[in-house]
Amino acid sequence: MPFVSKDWRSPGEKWIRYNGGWEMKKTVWNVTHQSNHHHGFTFDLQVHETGESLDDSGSESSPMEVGSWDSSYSLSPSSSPVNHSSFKEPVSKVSLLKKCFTLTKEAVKPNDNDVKHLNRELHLPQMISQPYYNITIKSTREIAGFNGLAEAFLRLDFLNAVKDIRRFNYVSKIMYKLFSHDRLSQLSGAAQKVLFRMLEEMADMVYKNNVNQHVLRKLLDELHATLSIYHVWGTHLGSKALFKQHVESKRKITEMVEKMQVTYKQDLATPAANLNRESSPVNKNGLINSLPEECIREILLRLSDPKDVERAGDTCLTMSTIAREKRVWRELVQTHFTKQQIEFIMNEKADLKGHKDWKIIYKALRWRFGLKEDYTEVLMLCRKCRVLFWQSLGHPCLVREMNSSGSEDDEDSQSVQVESPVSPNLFLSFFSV
Amino acid sequence: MPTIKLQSSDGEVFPVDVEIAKQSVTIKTMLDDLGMEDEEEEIVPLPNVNAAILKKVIQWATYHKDDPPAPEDDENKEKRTDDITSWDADFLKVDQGTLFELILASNYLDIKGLLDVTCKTVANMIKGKTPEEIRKTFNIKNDFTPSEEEQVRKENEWCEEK
Repeated sequence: MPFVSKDWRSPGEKWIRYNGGWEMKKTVWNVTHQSNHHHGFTFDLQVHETGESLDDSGSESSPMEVGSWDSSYSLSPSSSPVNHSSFKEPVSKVSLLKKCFTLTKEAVKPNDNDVKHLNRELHLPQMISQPYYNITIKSTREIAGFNGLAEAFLRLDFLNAVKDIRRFNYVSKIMYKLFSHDRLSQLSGAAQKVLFRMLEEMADMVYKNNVNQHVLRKLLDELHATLSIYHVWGTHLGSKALFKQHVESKRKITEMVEKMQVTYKQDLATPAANLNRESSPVNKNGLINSLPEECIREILLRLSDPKDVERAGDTCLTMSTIAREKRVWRELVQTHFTKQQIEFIMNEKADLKGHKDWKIIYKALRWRFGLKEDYTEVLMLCRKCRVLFWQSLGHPCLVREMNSSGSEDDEDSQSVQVESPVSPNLFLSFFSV
Repeated sequence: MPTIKLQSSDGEVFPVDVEIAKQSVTIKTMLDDLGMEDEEEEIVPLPNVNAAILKKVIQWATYHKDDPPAPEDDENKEKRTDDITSWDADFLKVDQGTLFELILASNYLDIKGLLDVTCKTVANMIKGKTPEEIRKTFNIKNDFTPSEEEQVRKENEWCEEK
């Protein structure tokens, strides 16, 4: 007899489908109505909102509305003794129900995205606004499982962060670390699923905007290596179905990337004919002809990776002249290394001092110190309330609220120390991977 | 609030708040030098900017009118190409021609913030691409002679090593 395990979702709670995973309704509420401390009030509000949206969807009958009805229904508290709309307009509800059923029969099923979209529009805007996640900092063996990576990904809005240019680098770094070092096998099935969805979102973004292909390619290479190792040894990650799903989505994304490269190659063969195939239409005059040298210099000055400067220099004469200028390299040196480091290398190698070739200095510094990791937007950890959150979005800090009622003077100086940035490695260490 | 009239190269006139227009150092210097009289209906011609681009520039300047002035200190300037706010990112979802014209206009009008964000956008398109891909993306003609190309490649070899 097959062993059917207990439903991991704890009994007595209501669970709803959210972003591909399950979310406890209570937590959704808590987040949705953070500001309302009085629980009874939030309850009423919820019922009221639900009733309203039901009425709204009753008046129109587009397939989209079925989605809205579904989502609002699943959010409505089932333990609620009174449902406004059912008393107010019983007829409309029944007709709506009918409508829904006929619509679903006609296979006009709202797809996941629509529901997600509507969820956001109808009920969850407050929740989306400020993603944060509570963690246990001092992880011991006994409580290691308390921090769920999948849940953290969802709560911290990683799926959207992939599309946000400010957070892209940070998220992709974490993804890279997860795909490599055989970490993938340590992840729960749910976390793997979210990870692959993130990869899909990323591929979509890269394809649309024609930027960051190299990051995606690097991730895919790593993933390919990891997946093939498991293939060889005859085991797979998680369940068979899940593994198949992974392989499938990897194949899809790889195809997409290859298609991108093929477009490039074809375009190179016949540059004139294929101008309109690019996702971003190419300017006929080109970069060099439409911009004066000073503007191109401004652009090159903003590149942070020396390899990018070199490769840009390889394209044509004008670019190559600018890429060889001292100023570009001086700026590169100054951004990547501190004054002390520069002085150190100058003292160490006396011959550098004389001719001040910044490119050579840069080279020497890089061998000596390596490049620093730098992210525009990082996750922060609030030590007081043990919450992970995005730097620019902030979080509802319980401690600060408590403090503000008491002494306000030392609060500012405290909050500076309380919040600290979380590097990708540290982030993963919280989840013991 | 006093306004100023800006005329694009193709003759269209845009009335703009002086405070917004002053984000352009070029216009600011001009107003400071000439002295502004509120009553006069002076039109400022901008022969290097067409109406479509000027409209975009004004839109950007209006959104960013309350920004704190950028720090002058060059030393501490961080070099992150991805430090673009989501509003700016959406604002710059335009075709390459427009993007280049925005760079030109912001360079001419001397609007630091706009120049910075447009250049970063282009820099992001360069990031991680091979020279061939860069050429393709920006329609750049390879004008190296074979011997020059060989020399450039030799010079840059150290970059490829890890």
